Amino acid sequence: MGMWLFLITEILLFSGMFVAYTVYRVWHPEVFDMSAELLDWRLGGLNTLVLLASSLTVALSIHYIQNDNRKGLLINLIITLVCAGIFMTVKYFEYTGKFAHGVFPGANFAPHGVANGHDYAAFNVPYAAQFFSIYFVMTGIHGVHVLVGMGVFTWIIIRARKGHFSSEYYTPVELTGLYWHLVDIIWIFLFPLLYLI
Amino acid sequence: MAHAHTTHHGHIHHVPKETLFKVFGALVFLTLLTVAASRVHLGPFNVPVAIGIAAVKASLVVTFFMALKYDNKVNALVMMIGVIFVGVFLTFTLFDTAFRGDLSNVDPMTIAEEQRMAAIATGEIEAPTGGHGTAAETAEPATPGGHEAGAATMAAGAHAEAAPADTLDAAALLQTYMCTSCHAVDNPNVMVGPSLYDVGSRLTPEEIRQSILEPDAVVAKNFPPGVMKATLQASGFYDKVTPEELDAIVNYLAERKGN
Repeated sequence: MGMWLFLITEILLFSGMFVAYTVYRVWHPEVFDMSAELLDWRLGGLNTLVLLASSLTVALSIHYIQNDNRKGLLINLIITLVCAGIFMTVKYFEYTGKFAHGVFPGANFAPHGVANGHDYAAFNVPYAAQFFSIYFVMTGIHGVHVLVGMGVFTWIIIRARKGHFSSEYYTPVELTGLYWHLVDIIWIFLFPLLYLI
Repeated sequence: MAHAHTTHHGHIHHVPKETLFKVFGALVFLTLLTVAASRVHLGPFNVPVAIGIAAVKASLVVTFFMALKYDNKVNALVMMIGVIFVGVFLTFTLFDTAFRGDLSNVDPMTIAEEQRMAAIATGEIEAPTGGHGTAAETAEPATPGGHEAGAATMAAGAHAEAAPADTLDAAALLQTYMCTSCHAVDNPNVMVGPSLYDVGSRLTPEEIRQSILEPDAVVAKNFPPGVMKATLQASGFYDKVTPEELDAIVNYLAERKGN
């Protein structure tokens, strides 16, 4: 119950940003339509699959510990952590790729150069900066949540290795899992909104 | 918080492994589907389709991965209330932002202003003399040309020689900021607002400053509150005026003590 209340506060935190996105999209739909082209849907889609897989392994890890399978728990937790690492690595390359072409959040927005068949200078239109500011803030705060999740999973893995968990007691695993699924859900919405439409 | 779960150990919710894999398969399929749907031009339906697929995916994660289906129903209630409030947040914000501009056909003048203007037009109230602030001029935005013309008029006006030398600028500012559209400065005529002809004998410099910065703190008798504040806000006065300009205006007005 307490964990679910915490998750609601997380949802409301992100909902503020989703509302900002919606308001600007309603005002300038064509700019958002165009700007989304600069984000590579293949990288975004890859990250979506990576996060979905990590959500599966978290659910599996809980399934295994419910059956007192400590090895299954540990393996699935480690896969989850690796998936989170892959997600952040892809995100790192996406961010640096944007920064290299002057796509910064806020007032430093100055797209230039050509990459992946896109002439970045053509995206220097009014309100494109707002799209990318929203993109960086939303994915940035989501990324911070992934990093926090990686930290907590590291702690959970250490405890799992020490044999702290069993079918009688696995609450920390379960609560971390709930948090991780929420991070996944946020990305489920971010991916189509930012990359696809 | 962390130990809340241990209280209902009696009925631990085991989600079958097959179910987890099936749900994962469905999530991957829906991801591919939303990518495919975005490649097809559906006109206005691209956005709802994408959000709809995302909502289905999120529901799958919540129901099975987060095991809300097998969990205490109170948690499901908490989750639903949260989602409803996100909906309220979004909907009511859009009620505002999506319809801005649709209301711009409102009359910029308040009823009190219109009545006063009508009274001036029919001669019930004597129209102000001196060329400042007639009804026609009220509608005109301040222009650099108007600014200079106003300064010139003031310089040539009857009070120019009575005023200290450095008030020329303040008089021009009163024109630029359209104060003179509603207030007479050279004569005691009442326009939309009270005349400033003798304001220096009625108010202290501090009170004048307050009347400009917080028009509704003290409102002159028989004048409606809110009008001056709304007008100054609409004209961008508070954004544009500098402290030096404000000082010049206050000093200038404090000197206006009638004759």
